[in-house]
Amino acid sequence: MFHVPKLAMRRFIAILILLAGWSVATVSAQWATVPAVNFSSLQLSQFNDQELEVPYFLNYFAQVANAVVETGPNKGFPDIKVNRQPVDNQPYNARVMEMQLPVAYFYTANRPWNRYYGDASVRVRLEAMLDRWTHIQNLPGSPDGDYDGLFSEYSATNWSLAPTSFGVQQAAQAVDLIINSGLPFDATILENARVSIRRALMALYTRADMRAAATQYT
Amino acid sequence: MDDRPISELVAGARPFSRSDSEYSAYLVTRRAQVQAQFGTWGALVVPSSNSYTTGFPFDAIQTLNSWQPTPAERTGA
Repeated sequence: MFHVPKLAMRRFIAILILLAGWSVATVSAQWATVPAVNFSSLQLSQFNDQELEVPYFLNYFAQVANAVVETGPNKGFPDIKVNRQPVDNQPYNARVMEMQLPVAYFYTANRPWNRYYGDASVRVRLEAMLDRWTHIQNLPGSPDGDYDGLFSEYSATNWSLAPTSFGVQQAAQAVDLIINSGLPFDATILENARVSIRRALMALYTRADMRAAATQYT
Repeated sequence: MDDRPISELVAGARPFSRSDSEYSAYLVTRRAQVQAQFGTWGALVVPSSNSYTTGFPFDAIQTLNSWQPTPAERTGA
């Protein structure tokens, strides 16, 4: 019979215990799943006239929110092709990040039909999304040119009007909802978002090419 | 619910707006439509370019859309 020294066996067991502990810690670090809505417990009468389009989006919210990437370079990216042309549903596309507005809405809507109000599993995804949005903005000294404050859409360097202006519109509304809700939220991410919004607005208002594009498309 | 309150401030936009009575009727119709679908939507269409659009919160959170011209205001404009 193969003989294993006691000391070696103890070390082996200790390593197993450490690995098991690391595995448990890794699992516990994962985001909690956003739960689905049980519509049998809801009634349309709970939604006011302005909210008549909300039930449809509420129905799918868990699926969409759970598609937000949790780790890696694309953390915060909603990896589900539901609001842009599928070929354009890319991590560099700031228009995809406009999804943060529905997430902010459901996180902050203090309504009797909303099980997601203040939900921690929604909050962690919203923080990741808003943080990601601030980090895909062009910064001074970019290798492809000085497009400080702009966002891209159709390629990683397609710094342009639509992803910047619509992105600001939706991000600013999301930030407003978060602040006015008084719900817990990462203060650093909120401040970074405020800075990003201001930088984007300055680019939109001061760049001649942005004014020309706005004139052309409006 | 795409009406915007621009016609409240810009009379020239009123011919393109629903009147207040039309808007009230629209809400009744729309509520009945949503009620018929409530909780029975099929699977989310994926991939799609518009199965989960992002602008609906703007309508859901604001009260600005409530203003509509009367039929007389619309005709006058």
